[in-house]
Amino acid sequence: MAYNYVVTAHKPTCVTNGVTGNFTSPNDLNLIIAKNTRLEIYVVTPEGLRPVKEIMIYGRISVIELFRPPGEKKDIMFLLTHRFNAMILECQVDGDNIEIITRAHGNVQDRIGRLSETGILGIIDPECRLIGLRLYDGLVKVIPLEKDNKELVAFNIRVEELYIIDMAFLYGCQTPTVALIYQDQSGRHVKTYEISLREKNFQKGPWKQENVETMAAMLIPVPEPFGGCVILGQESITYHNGDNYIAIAPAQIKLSPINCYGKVDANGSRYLLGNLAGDLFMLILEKEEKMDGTVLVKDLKVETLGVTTIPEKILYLDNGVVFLGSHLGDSQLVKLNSKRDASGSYVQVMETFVNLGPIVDMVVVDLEKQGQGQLVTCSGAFKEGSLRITRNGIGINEQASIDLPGIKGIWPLHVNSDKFDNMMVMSFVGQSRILQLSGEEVEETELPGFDGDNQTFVCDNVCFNQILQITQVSVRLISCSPGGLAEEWRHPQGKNISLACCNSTQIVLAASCELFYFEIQEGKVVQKGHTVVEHEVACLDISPLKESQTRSEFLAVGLWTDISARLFKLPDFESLHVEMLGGEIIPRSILMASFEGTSYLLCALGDGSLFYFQLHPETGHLSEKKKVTLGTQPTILKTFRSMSTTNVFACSDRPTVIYSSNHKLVFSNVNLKEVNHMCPLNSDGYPDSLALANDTTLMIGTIDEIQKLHIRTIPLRETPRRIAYQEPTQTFGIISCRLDNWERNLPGMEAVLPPASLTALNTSQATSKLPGLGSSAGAAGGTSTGANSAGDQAGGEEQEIFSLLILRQSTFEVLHAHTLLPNENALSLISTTLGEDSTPYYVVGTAFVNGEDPEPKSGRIIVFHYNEGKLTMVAEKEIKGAAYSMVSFNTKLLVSVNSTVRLFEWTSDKELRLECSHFNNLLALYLKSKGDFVLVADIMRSITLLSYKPLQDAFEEIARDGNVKWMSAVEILDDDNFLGGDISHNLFVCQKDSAATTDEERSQMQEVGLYHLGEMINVFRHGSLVMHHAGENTTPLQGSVLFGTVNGAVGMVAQLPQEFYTFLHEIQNRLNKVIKSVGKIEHSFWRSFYTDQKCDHSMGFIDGDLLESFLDLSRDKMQEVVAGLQIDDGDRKRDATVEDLVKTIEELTRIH
Amino acid sequence: RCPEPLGKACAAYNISSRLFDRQLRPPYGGPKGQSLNRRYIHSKLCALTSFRDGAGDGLACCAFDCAADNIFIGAFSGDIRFYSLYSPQPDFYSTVCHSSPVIHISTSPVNPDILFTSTWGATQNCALWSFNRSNIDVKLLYRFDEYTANLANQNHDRFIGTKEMVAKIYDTGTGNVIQTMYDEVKANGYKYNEATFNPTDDLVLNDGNLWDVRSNKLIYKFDKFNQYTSGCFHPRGLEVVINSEIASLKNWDIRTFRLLNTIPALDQCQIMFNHSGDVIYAIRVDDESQGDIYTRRDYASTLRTYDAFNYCNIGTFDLKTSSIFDVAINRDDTLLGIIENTTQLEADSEEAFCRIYEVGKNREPEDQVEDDDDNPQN
Repeated sequence: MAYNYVVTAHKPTCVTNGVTGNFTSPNDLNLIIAKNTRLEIYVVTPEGLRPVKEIMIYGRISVIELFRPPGEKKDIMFLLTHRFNAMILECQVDGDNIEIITRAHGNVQDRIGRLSETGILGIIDPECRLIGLRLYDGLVKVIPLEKDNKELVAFNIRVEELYIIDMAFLYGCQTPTVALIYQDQSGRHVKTYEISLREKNFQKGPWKQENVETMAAMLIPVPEPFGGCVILGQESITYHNGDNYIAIAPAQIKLSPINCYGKVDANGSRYLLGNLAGDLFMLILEKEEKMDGTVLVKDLKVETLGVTTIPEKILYLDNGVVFLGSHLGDSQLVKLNSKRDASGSYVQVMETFVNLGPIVDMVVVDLEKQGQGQLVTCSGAFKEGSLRITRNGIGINEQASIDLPGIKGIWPLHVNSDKFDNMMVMSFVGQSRILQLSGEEVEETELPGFDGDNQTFVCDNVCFNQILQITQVSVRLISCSPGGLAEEWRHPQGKNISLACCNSTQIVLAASCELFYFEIQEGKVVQKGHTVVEHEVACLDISPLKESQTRSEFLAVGLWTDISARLFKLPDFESLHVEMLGGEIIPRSILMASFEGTSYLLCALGDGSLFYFQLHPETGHLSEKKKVTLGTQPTILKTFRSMSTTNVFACSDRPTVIYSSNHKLVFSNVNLKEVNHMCPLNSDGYPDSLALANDTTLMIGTIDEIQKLHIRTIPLRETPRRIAYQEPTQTFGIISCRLDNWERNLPGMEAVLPPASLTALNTSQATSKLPGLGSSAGAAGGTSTGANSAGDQAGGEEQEIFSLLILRQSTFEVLHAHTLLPNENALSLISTTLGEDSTPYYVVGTAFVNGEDPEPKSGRIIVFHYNEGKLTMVAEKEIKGAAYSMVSFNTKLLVSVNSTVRLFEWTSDKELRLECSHFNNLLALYLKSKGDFVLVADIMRSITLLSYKPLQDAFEEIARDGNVKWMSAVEILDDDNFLGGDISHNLFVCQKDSAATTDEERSQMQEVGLYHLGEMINVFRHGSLVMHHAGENTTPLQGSVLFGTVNGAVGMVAQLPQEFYTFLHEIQNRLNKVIKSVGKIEHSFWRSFYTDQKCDHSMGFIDGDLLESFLDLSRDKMQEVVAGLQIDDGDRKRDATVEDLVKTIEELTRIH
Repeated sequence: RCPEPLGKACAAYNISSRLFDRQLRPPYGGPKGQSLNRRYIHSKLCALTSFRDGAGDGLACCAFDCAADNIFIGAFSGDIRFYSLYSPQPDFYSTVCHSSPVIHISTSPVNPDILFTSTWGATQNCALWSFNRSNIDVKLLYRFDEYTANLANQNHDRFIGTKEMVAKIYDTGTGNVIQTMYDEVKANGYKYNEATFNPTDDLVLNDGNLWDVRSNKLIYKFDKFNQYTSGCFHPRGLEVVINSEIASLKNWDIRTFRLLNTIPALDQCQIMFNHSGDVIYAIRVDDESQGDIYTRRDYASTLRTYDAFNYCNIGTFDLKTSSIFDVAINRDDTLLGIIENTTQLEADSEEAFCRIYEVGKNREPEDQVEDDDDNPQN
């Protein structure tokens, strides 16, 4: 058995489908976007898109359509998943609560049938009489739409047209009429059929058109009054309605295939067209009115609007605003203007939605050496190709820093300045200093009445334009104007003040066990209370709970000795709540704060751990105690505001920002090593900044937007394929691929920016000394590579040009671009040292690709060295095939070449010499190694484990998974467990059984983990996006493997101990009883391992996404999950509480 | 002619480009990517191992175990042999099942624990056996008077037996005949008639006639295109392949049948589908042989594969043997078992093998390494 936890760290961002309509209410215009397994529902408002609901579907969304049957006030949704779960959904809004109701559902899979290569097609009759689906070749499936039908039942209609390219229902037909583009031996044709619901068959339709364009790919049904449809080809656009036939062949559309359209007008007179180059066009159906009042299409016009992202789905919203959903790049919200801008475009980008997908390759690096990984992904393709740097936590961007050791506290002040802070108070042992901030200049200054000879505990602007300074000897109230000390208070017995806190109207200070309460008035502080507590005070706080308040009813205190947190009511110190924290570590900092309307008490201890409670704003009672470990050193809590929300900064050896998201507290790391003190700063030179002090330095910086994952984009404008990081040279190596036609420009438009490989600081061209290679490359030079093959005209040929790019780590500037030989595709890239040689090398594996051959017959392994701006080819080795994958292997180089795995040795002459090979694969696509073990993933024969025998110079096959799996990625978890992803969107773990008794058993790997992820994984990497804290062991998870998927999701797989797995599995089962899925799809069905050939129950994986959804449940639903659940408390079993589970699951959410 | 010209949107022809494209456009790198992958895999065949007929009896047929990596081989001596494919020892299990040659073994994934054997010669009948995998043993359940027998596709309660032009559906548990399918007037009289169920078990194709199982009525008589093979159902669709003709079963209840496609190369071929139903294997049978399985023509050493979705030829393999007696496909379509008979010219004797081939593997890639100096440019 395997015990794994799999969870999404970053949700899929590729837009796969979308619709617009009135789904949430008759008056709301909704944009609904499908991102693989998730639906995002937005309301279109004058301010922009407002997200209202996100829904997880237990299946990959294939079809979504909105429709409005007669009698309905708003639209309802038809949704079909890739595993053929069909559902009709309705949105019910009750105040803030949005509920998705499954009106009807059913599975429309056939037991037998050939799934169509052109994918699933789903259309709805405009009169809402039926749904048409084409899932299998030769069959059209029909779901009659009947009111109040709870079960969706389909029937099949057999069609003679086996290869249907697209289909659409025509408008304005008495009987539902479908138009098809289909292909047969003689070409492509369009045909119409009427669907008889009674006879359950197709009857001859009103018209047909044989021999339309050979690449005709899309049908747009045109609403009344025109009717008919538009047929989109690669070179022509045709309108046809049976009588009226108009075809045009505008030059612009030949540039790149049109891949989507969006309807602009309800009457169908304008459509937006998008192509794979990101050009946006408007198709206009020009109208002619006849004498008898009828209208027909007179002509078609195509207007070029501009260049956008590469759209997958065009959704026209309103007032010229369009959503462009993209698969290959960021999605965009654009505005279509009536006039061209300076660059000749009518399109203006209003908003960009970041998309990591398709993630083709990635590396996990720790550039700042903080024990926390950053993910650098090869994302997107063609002109949308980019690198994305994804980092968990919040970045502080340094603006200025001063060497100042020994800071014990910092506070901003505004002295006779309305808007900005203009001074900063710094406290040291036995003294205090004031800095004047003017612009970006900082210099020491004096403030009349300020005590510079003692350590300051608190300094703040308070009411009546006064400044309060509390030092260990006195409370000093300083007037800003006229200036100077207004009042000073000292302890009656002359004791030292040990702690103090204030807000703008109140002061509380502690001297050992004594507490004093003051209120601030103009020119004086008035003592309003005094008490003595049992033990010495360790920390205190009187922050007002609400932003608008200037005073606090409550005083929060942490005590020594009994280690308690207490709440008192001011002014009389009435005890409201005593909370024993337990343990022996004293509280060091206590803070009351409100996030998203909920009040919390936070209490940080001397060991870096933090307790937090919900604080009742009326009674001062604490509830829902939780604990989290932030660092290892005493922690100080401070509030600050960013983007008009309150956040807390926890200063420690692991500085953390605490904020609230979805009514849950989130703890996000900050990219700084250590912060002792912090204060917000808003000066004219440093607006919206933070001042941060550690043992040696004072730093002023700005903070990123507060969110969990931060993504930075480095546009390459060509397709990135592989990435490697080379630490010694502080560079990244990237394999990229550009099309030679990038320069083609739209008439009237500004030239597009050239791709990265053409804008590098240095460039070089590949050379080869290998005999015969030049001719091989030359021979292949005449033919096209990639997508083109025989049959395409010269005009359509696009040459793919591969380059090795070297990027500077700190700036991501392209330092060097090395272009490979014609037709030479680079397939793999690593950074490594070889043999005894300590030089770091970039090694590139290539193949010479001839589009007319089924597979490459030759390629090269090229060894490069990058040094001080110069890239040199150190060695090259010819191979008999394509170098699909490479790993560094015990100072040698291991390469998979077509079906073989080959080990190369680095000779003293700096040459690669073949040492040994292994042959037992169809195509060895992916390699991973650990010690002497090599894991090989085959194109379809799953995985094989090899062991290298250095004495024999040979590989021995240890074990193999005998099942058919079409692999997409592979990783070694540990010596016995191997993780794989396949092209059917599954995840699996195979185990080698070294203890088996027979050789045969040992040679067979066992499938111990099977899981349908619903995402195709392109890459696995060991690493973690979160900081791992030493000595902290709240969740017993082991290892961390990240994966990147085609749809731009990043996930994580970790291993669990068996008991914890069993416990989580029990919770998972309980959750499945409580959480009802949209569309009534069983969780067990959704997660079952599924390929075209077989379906197995899921095992060995805990669905982390499901588990985390526990935290979104209402309290009573949580209680339902918990009821009867046993938890192991270390020594005995007991009934679990909601708090236990919340704690456990919140801790699990922090691993990613 | 295959392949057709591919459009820009279609998957790349070269697999290395296609594998790259699939990272962006999963799972096949574009339309037609799946059939190109199928072509890539099934155009290669590589010998893995072989089981020699040590006893010299002559081998006639083979079938893979549908639950594990084992193979059954039928011999002329009337015994069946059982080999484990990956067992290091060449040990095997053997038992005498018939007094006549075993010429057909039928196993089914629906119930991997039973198998049918057919004999040829003096006595021509079938037997149903139960198979014990843990303690290897084949036990006779019963014999029945048919030439061939095949289990139903959806459950193992029924099987269909064929003797000449008559097909009978049996209850597997008891061996009793449930129904008989024979129409004297419409009979085609194919030489090697073998009745089969359609994928959903509601239709039976017997002797070129289509029967509805529920009503036990003959629905349609297909034209007779050849003398020899009676045809079979496509496991992944409503199609029937009879000789080189592929007919679509369109709404069979209203009796509109249409000739879909003609593949001349399949003429006179014995065809079988793999378990996924996406590949067809074909070997040519002699139309002149009078049921004598020893006499085969030249073609018989050639195994051809076709894409079962578009009927394009994928590969042609000359197996360097004098004749192929039987072809079997393992449970996950990765291995072929082929009964080959090699004639030793000098000795005027024959030697029989059951050779196991791996699908999708290059023939001896080792050769490519050794000739490192010799640079084969295509």
